[in-house]
Amino acid sequence: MLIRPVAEDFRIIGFFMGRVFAIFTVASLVPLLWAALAREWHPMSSFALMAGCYAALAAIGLRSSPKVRRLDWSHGMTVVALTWALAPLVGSIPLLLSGHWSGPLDSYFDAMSGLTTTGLSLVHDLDHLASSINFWRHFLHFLGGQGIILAALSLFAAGGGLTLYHGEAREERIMPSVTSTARFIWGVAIVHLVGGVVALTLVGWVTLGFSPMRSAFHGLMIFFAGFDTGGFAPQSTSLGYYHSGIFEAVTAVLMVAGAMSFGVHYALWRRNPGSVLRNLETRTILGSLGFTLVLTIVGLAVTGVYSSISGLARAGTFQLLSAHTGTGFATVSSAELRGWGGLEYGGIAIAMALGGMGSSTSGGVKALRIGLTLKAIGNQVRRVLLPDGAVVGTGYFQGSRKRLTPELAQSVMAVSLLYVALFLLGAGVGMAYGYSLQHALFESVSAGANVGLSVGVVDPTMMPAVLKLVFMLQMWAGRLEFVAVFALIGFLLAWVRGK
Amino acid sequence: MSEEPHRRVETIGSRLTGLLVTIGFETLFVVAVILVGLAVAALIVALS
Repeated sequence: MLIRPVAEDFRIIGFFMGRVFAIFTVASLVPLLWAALAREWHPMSSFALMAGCYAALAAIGLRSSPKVRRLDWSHGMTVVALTWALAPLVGSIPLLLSGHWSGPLDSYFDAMSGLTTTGLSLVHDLDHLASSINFWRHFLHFLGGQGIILAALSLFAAGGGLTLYHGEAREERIMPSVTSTARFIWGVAIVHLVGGVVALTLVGWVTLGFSPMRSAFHGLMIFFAGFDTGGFAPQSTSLGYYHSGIFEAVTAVLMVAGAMSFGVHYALWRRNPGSVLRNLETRTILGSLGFTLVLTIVGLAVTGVYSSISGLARAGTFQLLSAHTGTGFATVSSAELRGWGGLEYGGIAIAMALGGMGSSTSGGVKALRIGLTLKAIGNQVRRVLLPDGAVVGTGYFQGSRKRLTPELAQSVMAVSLLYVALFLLGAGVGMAYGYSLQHALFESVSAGANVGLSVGVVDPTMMPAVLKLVFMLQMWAGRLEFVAVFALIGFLLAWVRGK
Repeated sequence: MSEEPHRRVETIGSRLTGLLVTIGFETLFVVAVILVGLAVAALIVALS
């Protein structure tokens, strides 16, 4: 029987959402300041409006004053799911008012794509967008990738932070408390921010001939989108704009850093790379990366799209790394990507679906789930082949020695299947609108796995509104890894049908 | 008899080493992927 939520439940949810919106209010002052410094008065007024809306939502939430300021599991998940749906709606105000998006649905689509670190975009004339609006698009990647909830946890320690942490699909606690873990994650981001922006700025300035200011702007935007595995770029031709192997290599390092779990970052920070190489997740991602890389390169060589070995390897490896890490930067255009043959298309699509490591900014099924699923299947096969009574080892190494229990295997396979269903949903709707299976499935996987590579289905002039809504749902559910979404559905059902 | 729990003291030097290990690992990862890509491409072109 469903128990109908009472007023206190709504007060608790409202209060914690208010805290998160308070963080968004502060965060929205950054693009406001940017617009003021750049003397972009029209965007500045739209950022002021957005900050006002976030502040109003924060004030309404914080005034709900529940009796107990502690979240249970269901409340925490509902807070996360609602926040991730509402925050981009308010965040889309400056995009809509800039006039570069066709309407509210398109600007909401892009804000959702930004916050969920997807990178698909419905913008018109990106190359002439105001710098502050462009900054906001990329800053959304940073806020979403680092986890706005994490920021709230770092600042408001008490009150059931663990459920919020899990709601954002993060499972690893690398420090004794969630708050210290959140602070470590932000520390890793800041260190990479400084290093990444300096490196990209130097490359842009020294090798591309950009002015120092322009180089720093591009470096910062590409850092936000690369390290947070987002995929937006300040120019319409994405990474292809720079025509620079060094720029692509530095960006690739940032993409890899973003797709690594924070457990791996912690082990490396503790100067323990041996433990990282023993991890089931590291070994799985090395295997899947190798497999999809061979598939892509062989496909490109057979199709004969590139005449030189270096050109083939450069385009193939960068696109594959971009897909596997869930970033979505492109060095080839959507039209060129459509011209790729079946093998390389398959390699990129599989890489997108598999995604990076768990508890990272990357999307997709995630390497640990793939590794555990393969291990569970292997154990099952061994049980069949070995004599009755033989003991089959169920241990695996992930930071420490762990046991693959039937419950864990079941939950891992359930989430993996949900991802497959999510990919098929978008592909089905795309095909219903007349797109080919190949294109509809590629774009659906790109949305559901929060990647952002496109073969042209996501298009501001031709994309059907229903398909935009489905892709937004995919980005949202894929980023939250379903649990928070199901908790929200359960909460709403209990509200409507509970007793 | 109980022992004093081991505590790792973080100094600037150890933090810098940690940073270098992290950046080194990330860079080597990318270099390895590029080298595998180049090797596979060269092999396929040589065979065809």
